[in-house]
Amino acid sequence: MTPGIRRLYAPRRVSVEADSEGVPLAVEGVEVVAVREEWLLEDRWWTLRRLWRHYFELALIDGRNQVVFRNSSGRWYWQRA
Amino acid sequence: MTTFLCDLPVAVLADRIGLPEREGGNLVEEIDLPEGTAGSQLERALELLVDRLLAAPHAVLLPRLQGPPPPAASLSLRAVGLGPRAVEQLELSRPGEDSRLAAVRREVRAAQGADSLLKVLPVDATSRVPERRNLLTPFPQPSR
Repeated sequence: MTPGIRRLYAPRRVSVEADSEGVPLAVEGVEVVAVREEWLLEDRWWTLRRLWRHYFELALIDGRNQVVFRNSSGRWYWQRA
Repeated sequence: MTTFLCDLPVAVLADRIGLPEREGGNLVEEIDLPEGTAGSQLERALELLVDRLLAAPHAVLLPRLQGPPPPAASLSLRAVGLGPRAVEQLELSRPGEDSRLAAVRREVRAAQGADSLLKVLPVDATSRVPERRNLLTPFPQPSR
């Protein structure tokens, strides 16, 4: 990317505890009280740099609403979506 | 002989105690808007218009005399006049605002550095991938 230019809403790594089916139970130690929405995002599947994300919109016990996703490598990210 | 107000026709009542205009059997209220009124100001004006309409004496007085007010049967909105087309309207920004903004930009650059001012550039607003929608780019330096 051109120097001086950066993306908004870039994802950042986050620590998520999930159950055996991959549904988040806690985000950075804060309990998830509800999964408000979840969706899959697939793009560039025709290239070697395939993009696959499983998004979750979560209500946390401290009142925050957070969007996290797990990528095809199993890593979790937080994102303003 | 005793005549009750509620027995008088609305037209007679309007003539005697001065009530708002009724046009073709409809209750009509009108507000003159200042030049350039739009957006939330227009919404507020509409609310005011409805408030005035509902508070009109013969919308309130007669039902009070006769009993509980009935629910509104219908509500319509009619623009009685339009301003000039948008391209013909005066610029809404106040005179001198650009120079004040330029002065603020200069101050921020002087205090925080030349790259401190950025702007959001929409590049793919409908992308499903959030980080593709907008870029943060340097705010252009004014040409001297």
